[in-house]
Amino acid sequence: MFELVRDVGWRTIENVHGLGGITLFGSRLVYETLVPPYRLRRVIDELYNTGVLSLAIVCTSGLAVGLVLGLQGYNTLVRFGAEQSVGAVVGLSLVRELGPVLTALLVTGRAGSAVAAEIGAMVATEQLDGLRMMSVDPLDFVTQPKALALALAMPLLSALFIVFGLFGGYLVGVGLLGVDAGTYLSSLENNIDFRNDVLGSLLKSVVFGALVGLVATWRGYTSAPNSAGVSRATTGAVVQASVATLMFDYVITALWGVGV
Amino acid sequence: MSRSPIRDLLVGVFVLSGLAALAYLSIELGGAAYSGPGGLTLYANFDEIGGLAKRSPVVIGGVKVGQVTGIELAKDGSFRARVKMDVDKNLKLPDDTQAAVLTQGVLGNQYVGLSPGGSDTFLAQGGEIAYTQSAVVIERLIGKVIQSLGGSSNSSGGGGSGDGGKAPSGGKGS
Amino acid sequence: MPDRGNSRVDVVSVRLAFGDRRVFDGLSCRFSQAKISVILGASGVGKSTLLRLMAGLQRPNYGDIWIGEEEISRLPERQMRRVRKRLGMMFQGGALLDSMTVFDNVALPLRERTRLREKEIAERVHAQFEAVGLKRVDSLLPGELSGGMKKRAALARAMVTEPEILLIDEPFSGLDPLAVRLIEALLVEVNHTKGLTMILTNHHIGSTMRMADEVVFLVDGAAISGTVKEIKESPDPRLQRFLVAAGTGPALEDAS
Repeated sequence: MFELVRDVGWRTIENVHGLGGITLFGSRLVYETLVPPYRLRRVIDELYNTGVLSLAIVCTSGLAVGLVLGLQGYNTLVRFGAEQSVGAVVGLSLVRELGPVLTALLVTGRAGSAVAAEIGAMVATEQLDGLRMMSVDPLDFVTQPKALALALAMPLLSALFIVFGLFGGYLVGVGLLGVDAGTYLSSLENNIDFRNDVLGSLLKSVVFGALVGLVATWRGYTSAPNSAGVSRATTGAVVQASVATLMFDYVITALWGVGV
Repeated sequence: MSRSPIRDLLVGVFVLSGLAALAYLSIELGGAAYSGPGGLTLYANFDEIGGLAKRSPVVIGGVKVGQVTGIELAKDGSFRARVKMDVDKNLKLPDDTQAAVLTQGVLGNQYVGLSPGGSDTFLAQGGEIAYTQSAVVIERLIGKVIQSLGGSSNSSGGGGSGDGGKAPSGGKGS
Repeated sequence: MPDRGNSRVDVVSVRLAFGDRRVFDGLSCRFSQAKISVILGASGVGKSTLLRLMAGLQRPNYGDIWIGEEEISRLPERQMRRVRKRLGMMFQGGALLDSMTVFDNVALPLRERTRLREKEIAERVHAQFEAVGLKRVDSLLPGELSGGMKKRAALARAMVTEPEILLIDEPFSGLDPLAVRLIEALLVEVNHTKGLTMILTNHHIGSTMRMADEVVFLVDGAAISGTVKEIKESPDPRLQRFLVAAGTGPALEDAS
């Protein structure tokens, strides 16, 4: 019994410690991003790794989700005679929620894990120590470009996900189920508002991008310098970033919808 | 760092297509003729606004010219809904313009439709639209149908089954 | 080689523990200027840790570490960066950045620390390649190098900024006997031509005995120091046991 209480206490302290650690790490990352040298070359390289290489999975998933939404949306709306609104249903679901959230989860799995693993491997092979010995700050040289690239790529990928999803909905709704193309598009356009929907979606994807960038780089950076440590860091990064994304999704949705 | 020019090209393509997608979503889908505070504030009192909410569009002839910026209970004790609207300041609306709460389609969102009148005086900043037409609330309509079908014995005026609100006053309601 | 001040390293009464594990318990030793000093000892005794202490990558719990006239064990990271300009470090696995070519790796310290133009940087990098015996490796990635070549590249990178003190972690690990001899010769030559203070960790007895000016033997959290001759003739039983186990007793042959 006493063991249990002590265990809980210990875990709480560890978590608070970890929370402090990640906050300090995060503020250092922000500082290094804003302060020269800006390392544009490396940011572009990392954008390739996180953004371009995630394009395939993001676009195909977007298309697939759009197809499903079109199908499900139509099947449900047809019961109320409202199948003309399928464009709005597909569009709003994608823009408000599915676009930013699913993109974030996909990118976390693909690019977030890769970043955590890369950095973890660099810790294990003393590459970061090597940098320190050359008077280079590994945070500035390695982690900052990766985190920044993740944060920048996310909104772009999210927008592409949504566009492919809208197209998927179009394929199913107009191509398959006979909704009029003009109706689909006008239903889309009339029901999506820039301030309410698109801006909120953009904000979400930027926040998620920053989250994934922070969690993935931090887990890699603080991993134990051996292969078990690296694998723990990678899986931990995916789990933590995913959960954080979902939780922040609620917070942003609530604040954005209420505040305005 | 393998400085491959192909990589750079791909990154460029990625960024541009992402930005294009964002632009499409923002401008094509989200945007409209009205995108910011228009500047002209108008008021109207309605008996019933139904599902009208803040940021609901204000429309003339199908074109969005503004949005609802506030809804509250009228302070003159009439228990009507006072709607505050913000519309394009370049509009010259005659002061006999009518405002109606309409629905998009049958089950769609509610909006305020303005039908300009023919008067020579125009509504000024903070002006009041005198002629209003309240929203049609489906439940009340159904209630009235049931009432008129079933209750010839219930011939007390106003009140009656299912009709929770007060009966519209003459001249301005429906 | 301009005398930029004392490039001697002194470790004074250092204590270090990781949790319950005591690594150093009052360790004191000196690494003389311009000499090749080898840190010897059984696996896990703390050779690499001692090197890391001198590099500032590890802080002791107690004690002082002097690089020349400067005590570094409590310096903040920013100051440490300044001190590291005098140091060069060769890591056990090379620790070259995987994502960059060999050329970019060796050029990195110059690009980061100096304002030299690309042309000058290329000259210096290629000079280093020659000094360590690497040919045509410019656009290779570290993963494409053999073990010996990685070590040479790592040495080139450590040397390209012309440090006064070179810290080398297990230079001979994972090398065949021929490669060991080659790297050994290279290190000795560098020491003789540039007058660097070189501190190596090694558990290769043969090469140690051949190249070391001074030996620091780590055991039980402390050090026994001396020249090669003194070490071989030392009465300390732990040292004797180690030397015998490693195959070189007092009557040693040239074992490698």
